[in-house]
Amino acid sequence: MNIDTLRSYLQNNQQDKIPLGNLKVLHILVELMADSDERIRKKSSDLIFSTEFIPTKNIVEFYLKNPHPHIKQVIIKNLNYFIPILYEYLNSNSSFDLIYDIISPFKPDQLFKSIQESYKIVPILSTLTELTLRTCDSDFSNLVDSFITYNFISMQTKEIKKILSYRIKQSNTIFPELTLLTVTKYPELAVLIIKNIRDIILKDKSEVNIQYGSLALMLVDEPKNSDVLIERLANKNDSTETKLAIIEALGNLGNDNACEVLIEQFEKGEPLAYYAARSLALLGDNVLPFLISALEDDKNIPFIIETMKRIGDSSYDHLMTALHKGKRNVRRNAAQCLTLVMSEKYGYVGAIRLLTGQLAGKNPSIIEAVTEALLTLGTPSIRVLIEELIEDDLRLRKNAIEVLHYFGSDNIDLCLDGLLDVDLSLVVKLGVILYLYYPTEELQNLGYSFALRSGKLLSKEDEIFKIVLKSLGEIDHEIREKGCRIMPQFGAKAVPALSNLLTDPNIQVRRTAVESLRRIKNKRALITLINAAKKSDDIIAEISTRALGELKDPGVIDVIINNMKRPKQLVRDAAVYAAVNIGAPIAKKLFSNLNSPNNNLVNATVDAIGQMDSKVLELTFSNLKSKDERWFRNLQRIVEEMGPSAIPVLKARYTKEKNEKARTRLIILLSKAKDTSIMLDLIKMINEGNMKTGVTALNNIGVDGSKQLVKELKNASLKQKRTFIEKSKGIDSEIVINLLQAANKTDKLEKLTPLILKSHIRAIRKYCQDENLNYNNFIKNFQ
Amino acid sequence: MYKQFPDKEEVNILSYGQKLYLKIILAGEAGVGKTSLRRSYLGDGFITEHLQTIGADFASLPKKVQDYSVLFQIWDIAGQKIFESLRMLYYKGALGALMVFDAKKSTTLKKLDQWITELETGTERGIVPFSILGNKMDLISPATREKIRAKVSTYIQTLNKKYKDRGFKVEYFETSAKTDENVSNAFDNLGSKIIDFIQFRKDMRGKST
Repeated sequence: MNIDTLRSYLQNNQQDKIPLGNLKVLHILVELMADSDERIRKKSSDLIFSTEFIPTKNIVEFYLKNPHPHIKQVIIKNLNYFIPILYEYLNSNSSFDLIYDIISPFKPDQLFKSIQESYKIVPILSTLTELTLRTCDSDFSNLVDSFITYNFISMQTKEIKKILSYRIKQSNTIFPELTLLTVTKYPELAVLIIKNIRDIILKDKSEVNIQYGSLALMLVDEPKNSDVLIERLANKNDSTETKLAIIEALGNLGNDNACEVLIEQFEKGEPLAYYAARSLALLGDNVLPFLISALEDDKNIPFIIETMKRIGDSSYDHLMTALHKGKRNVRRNAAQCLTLVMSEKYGYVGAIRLLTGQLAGKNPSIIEAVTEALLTLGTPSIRVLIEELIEDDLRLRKNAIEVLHYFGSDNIDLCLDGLLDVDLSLVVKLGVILYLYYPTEELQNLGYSFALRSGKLLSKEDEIFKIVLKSLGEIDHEIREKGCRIMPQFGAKAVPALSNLLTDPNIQVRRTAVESLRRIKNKRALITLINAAKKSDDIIAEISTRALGELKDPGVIDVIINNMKRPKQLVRDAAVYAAVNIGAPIAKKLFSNLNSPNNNLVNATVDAIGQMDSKVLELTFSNLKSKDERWFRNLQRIVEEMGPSAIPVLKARYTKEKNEKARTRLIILLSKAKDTSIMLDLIKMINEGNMKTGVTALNNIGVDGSKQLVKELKNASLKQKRTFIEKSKGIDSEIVINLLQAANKTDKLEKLTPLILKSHIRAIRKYCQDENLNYNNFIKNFQ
Repeated sequence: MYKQFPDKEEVNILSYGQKLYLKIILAGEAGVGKTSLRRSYLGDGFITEHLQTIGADFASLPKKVQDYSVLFQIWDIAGQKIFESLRMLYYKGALGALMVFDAKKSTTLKKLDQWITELETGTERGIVPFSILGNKMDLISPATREKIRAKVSTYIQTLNKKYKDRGFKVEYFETSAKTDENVSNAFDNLGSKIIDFIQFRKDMRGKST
């Protein structure tokens, strides 16, 4: 059967006469697909595609020789039948263009749909076509769906390798590019053409190829492939993007040989340096020695930090070694790195603390480096440095003080001020530490001003209490003393610690401890103070006694009275002070001591009651008639101390008092209080014969009462006046002289002058003697 | 026992002496010209030999501000966005900031809010004095300049309302790192503002004592 016969059958619609089982017939039908008659073309193609065995290869081959549009359309229409054989034609230079021309109008998902259909019957060939399409069609290359699997790759290694090798070597850059893109999606494919990829990395001019190639090598994950990447990274003409891809691959490949070339990227700045830092971190601990060497160049620091932060804790030891053994600038940079690297794990403050911990060392170079780093890190360092002041290591303290000294008070003020609104407890803690531990007054005051307001601690948290407690055990007595001063702020719980300090070797500390116990004003403190007041240590006894007085607790009376007997004046004075503070509750007991044989006690009692409110005198009134003279003499001393303030109390009793002895004693007491209103009573007393008491009382009042005496005498009868002048012998000379002068001036007393001169001759003589006057001349003035 | 201070010659590291350390942050979107502003201000005379960067561009400059000897520590965190974990550290201890936007890019002005928030949270002492700098003024017309000024003025009013009790006022400077326009003014003004702020804080503390 020849072509004409077949043509005639088709023309006459006698397709049933055509033996489709005959391969030769089928080949002729293929030829008729390019017939000049459209109907023949259609009928022949319909007939071919009605058979079970479609000669797709013949159709394609015929099309390649005779690219008739109808055949093209037939292939397009029945693409899924052609899928299994397409890869062969697409992977051949001679057929590629015509075949690609057929499939190019297809969208990736349409193509994949055809592959899917074909895959059901011939999976491997269909997948080979998919792979081929991925290497030559950029849209299809990005398709997510795929039949490429590990099994497929392992089974078809040879064919795949052939396809990929062919593609990657093509001169049109799009093909190697798509091939590389494809192998980055299926790293097992990259292994098959690893040599080609390495060649591309070394020689290719296309930057995209280098980028995909780097990625592919990274995915193959063979550290030995780093060598080509390292070599390529030296190429100065490559773009930043390409270099970034190489750097990233080098990091992921994990070959230590890349360390140096990656560190070299630091000097190129961002983004290369940053990517290099990331990649170096992927290489792990082995890069640390290289990074430490790189510390010599200041510009590297940010990237070293970035790398080390990613590497983590193992950086610490290397940085410490650098800090201890490096050159000067390495040490300085290591110190800064140490803080910033460790801040990741320990926080900023924790990291600074790690750094300040180095201040405990002896090496001045390290201290210098650390100091410089801390100054750079600015005010946040100050907080840590202040906290270091309470560390047990004295060298650390000393060096922390030095660094704080360099910061100076203004910066420290700034630091504390900055924390005020954020963490008041912290500010108080730092303020307290500064006050306790910093050696200069200026900063102590600064600390104090932040820790206390109006004398009150702004935070009393346990941590702060513990700091103050610790200060009480310091070797430096000044710290202990300041600790004592703060302690009362914590109330009762400070008592045991302060009690212990009563035996402190330093007297000032002991004093302050007692003073602080006093300020606590608490029962526990009171008991401690009572015991302290009994101590033979006069200083402690003194302060404690004063403190007890200020607490005004009646329970301490016996201790105070006992201390009035002590030989040391300062203790007795303290007891007097305490007694005065306590007042009435102690007075009654004190009055009973007025006839004690212990002079210290008596004198202190007089001193104490003399300073109390005069009302306490009422406690003595019931004893006025019974107590002995010694007791009364001392009572007089008390009233004398009290002065005129005692008059109302005494006068009130005097007015009511019936007992003669008591009245007499009251008048004496009133005179001691300088009460001039009793003058008339005194005149009467003298005139009635009780001269001793009257004269004594007059003398007690003294010359200040003269005016009142003259006034009362003026109003008296002449007889009364004369009697008084005659019986008042023994009154003080100054009173006599005042009387004389008054008599001389006043008519009402004029007649008394000779009597005064006669009766009081001894007093007048004494006056002249005292005043260095001639007696005769003096009296002449009055004669 | 702790009263012995080091002999100056014993520790020779401190060319600083006792100065007030004023840490200033230059903040704003990438490309707004922060580094150029810093260079324009510092010229060639700034100290770099001691303290190089530690994750941010850093330079220090001794100055006399009011009666204080201060050491400006200017931290330029430009371009450091990728160092995200580090960035917040730079704000710690900062006492002032220059918030820079590019007069040619209005988006950079809009982004200032984010930078101000970062400053507020990062210093650990809350908001500190800052000024707003409209940079690259040499590249825009007087009419545009006027428009921006109006926009910034409204923005500044809002900020001043927000921070009215904080002891400083936000101000606006039109700068050009290229022509040096207003650059010194902006830095010096911030220095003064910080000193006033410190004084304000002291006064506040005094009042509460």
